[in-house]
Amino acid sequence: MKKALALIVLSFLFTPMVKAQGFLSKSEVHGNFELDGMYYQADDALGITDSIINGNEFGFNGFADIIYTLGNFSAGLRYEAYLPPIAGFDRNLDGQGIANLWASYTTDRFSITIGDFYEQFGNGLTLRTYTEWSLGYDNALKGARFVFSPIDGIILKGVYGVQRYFWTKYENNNRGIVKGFDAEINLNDVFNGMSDSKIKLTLGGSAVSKYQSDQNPFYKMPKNVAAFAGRFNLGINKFNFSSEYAYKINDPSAINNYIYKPGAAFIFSGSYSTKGLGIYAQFKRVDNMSYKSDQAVTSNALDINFLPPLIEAHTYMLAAMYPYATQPNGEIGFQIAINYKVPKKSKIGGKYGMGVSINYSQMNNIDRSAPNDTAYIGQSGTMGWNSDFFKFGKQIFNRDLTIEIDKKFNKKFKSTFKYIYQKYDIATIQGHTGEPIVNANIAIIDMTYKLTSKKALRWELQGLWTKEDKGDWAAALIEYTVSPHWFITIADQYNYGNKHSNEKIHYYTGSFGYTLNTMRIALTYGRQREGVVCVGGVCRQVPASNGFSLTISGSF
Amino acid sequence: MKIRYIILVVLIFAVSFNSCDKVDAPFIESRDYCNGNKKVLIEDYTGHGCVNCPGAAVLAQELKEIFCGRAVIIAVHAGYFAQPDFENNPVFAANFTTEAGNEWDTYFGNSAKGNPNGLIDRVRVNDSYVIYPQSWAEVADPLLMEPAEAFITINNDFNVSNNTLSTNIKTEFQQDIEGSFKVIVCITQDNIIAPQKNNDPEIGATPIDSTYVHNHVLRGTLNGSWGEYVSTTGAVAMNEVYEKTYDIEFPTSWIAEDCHVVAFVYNESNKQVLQAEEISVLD
Repeated sequence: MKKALALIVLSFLFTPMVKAQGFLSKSEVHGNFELDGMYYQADDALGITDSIINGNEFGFNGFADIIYTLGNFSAGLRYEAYLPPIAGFDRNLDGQGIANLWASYTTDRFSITIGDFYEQFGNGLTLRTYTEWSLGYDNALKGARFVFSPIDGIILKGVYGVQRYFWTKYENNNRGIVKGFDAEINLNDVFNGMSDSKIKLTLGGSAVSKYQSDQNPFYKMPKNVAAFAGRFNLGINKFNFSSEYAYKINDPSAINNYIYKPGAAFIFSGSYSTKGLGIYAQFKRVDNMSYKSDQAVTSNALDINFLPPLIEAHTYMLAAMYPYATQPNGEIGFQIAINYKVPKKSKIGGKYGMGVSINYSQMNNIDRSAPNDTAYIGQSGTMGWNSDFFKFGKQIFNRDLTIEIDKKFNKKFKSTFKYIYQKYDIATIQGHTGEPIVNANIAIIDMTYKLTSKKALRWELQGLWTKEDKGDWAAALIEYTVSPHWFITIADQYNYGNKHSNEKIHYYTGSFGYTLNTMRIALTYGRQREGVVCVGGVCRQVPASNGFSLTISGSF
Repeated sequence: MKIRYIILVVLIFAVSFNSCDKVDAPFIESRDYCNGNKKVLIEDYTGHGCVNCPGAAVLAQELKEIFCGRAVIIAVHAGYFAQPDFENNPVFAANFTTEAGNEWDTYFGNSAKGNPNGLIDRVRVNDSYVIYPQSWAEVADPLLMEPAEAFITINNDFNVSNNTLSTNIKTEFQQDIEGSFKVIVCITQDNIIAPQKNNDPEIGATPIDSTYVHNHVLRGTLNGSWGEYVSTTGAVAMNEVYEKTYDIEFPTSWIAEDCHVVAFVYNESNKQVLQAEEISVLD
């Protein structure tokens, strides 16, 4: 495949039929890259000794995307190197090479892509391939994709291929083959009578199937596992509703402990927005909906589908301590978010107005009962469990209440205040078996003071109070920015409430960076606390470390 | 015009529905592993600081039973999780690492990929020797379907008075094969009670099981980390018996009645194990 692609690319580059001048003026090359380097050093307080480092003082993750376009034609490649991967990334990433290679031809009505591609059907409940650099995640499909829009308002998509599994080449059905089809119809575009309607309606449906040979000696494995989904998006004036329901037939796997229950996922969201006010509510239920192209894989790889998260994603240091990871075997929950802008020149709003947002989310286990009289819940080789569709299980995985106030005091001074309450089942989500549920209160103050039009000082004060896990934390950050080029940041997270006196550790970091147009370089020195980093409910562990990190990124 | 596209979409979905295999109960296949003479070597790379490792140890034992005893297990303690005083915790004072285990771990790359994982007859799957527990069964299954290419016979003579073992290893190939073959002879020990991190309450106490029973623990090899050639001619002959006797004095921590002699023969070029055997030291 790679050779064939290279030939196509080369033939476009060097074919004598193309007039050199026109060819060059129409050709464009774009790209982006990032290089992340780590240097590790021993740190007694973190329990990191030279013998643990054992000579592995460096970690390096890097990628470059290069995309060539000529009119309707485009082609690209992605080079990646993990030499060796930075601590906390999957060790299977170790290596370097051309990870992705593709060529595409696109017109107004159709598009065809061969090679590696990313695609999403609807919300992703049946199919989503994507790459997330911070997780070291890439489940790109390698094969062919066809997108066809016969008339305005109808989009048909077909995909066929195998997914990326680190550096392992596909051969001898060592993972499944994925094929999928999606249709979406925008009724307002298709039917002339609806083009000016206040009701906006889009309908969609998808079907995905994977083929994997039965390599399991103990269970009768389905070779073809299909998933189907239907969805709509309905807009009526200031209201918007959308929903998707997906169903998957029996798909015993290492993730679900080889049970034969069909899977299902349902999401429904409604929103209302008007000037100064936005209300958003979402409901979600997932039941046995892990869908991978290899039933034996349990790590973050080869996911065919994606289960969108509904928990507020926090970015502040201490607020990100307990991130929620999607539980594909079963979860049920809801989220309500209200954003309100207190008008300018009102009593509370003051001269500049004030932003208030409240976000509440909760995710429970689904309710389960034994599949029959002789089997226990989740027993492999059975139907697994019975579950009422709308019944919440008693186990709360995560509860999050976030209240945020944004206030600009004058032309130079603005701030954000945040209060967060979290309930977090650390035993289930982070695998800390036997540990009690964490109840944490978090407060954050983030202030920015503009010294001049280019220079600004920003500081954060944060506190996290909990009786569980590692106890109380305090954190502070100060950042000085000279836009558009320089920044310098000093931060510390202090685990002052840890029950063990030798673990009352300061996690200090200092970093500075320089930005020039689209290029950015940042150097950080300090301690990284042990934890979990999640993007979209997909998580990876981050071990404690001490050392230097260097990041260089850019685009062209 | 529009109807045509709707028909097309319906047709594609209809075809997609055919790409489903609904499986009916019973879901468990019963395969008879009792007819066969090939034994598979399961090397379980583990460590007392690894919370998921007890689960892998249970799996290895279950596989041995499912395979009708046609599996030989070695628990290789190596890498970060096997370090004595793991995470500066004196509870984990025990040192189950061995020179051979460390060398194998470095060569095959087990602990670098995160425990628990293992080797199944040291075969390579997807360019890697390292096989995660969820794939052990499916990798072992086809190996057990093949007839054994060699047989190993172990005869032990343990002298209780001086705690010395004399073990005689005979390797007999079932066909003429070109290549260099080596035999590794090692000692494993069961019933060692020592703390182990654990996250499975069905196996034992969590998060630390202080009375965890370690089985199949690799104690050392009798002929180096990579063994000795059975033949130096670059080939082995059918029905010819290659034989060697090894003597070793047991350290006091090796309890003879809990120890086994494990021997396995492998192809030096690709490291793949042809046959494995084990027998109690006192047999």
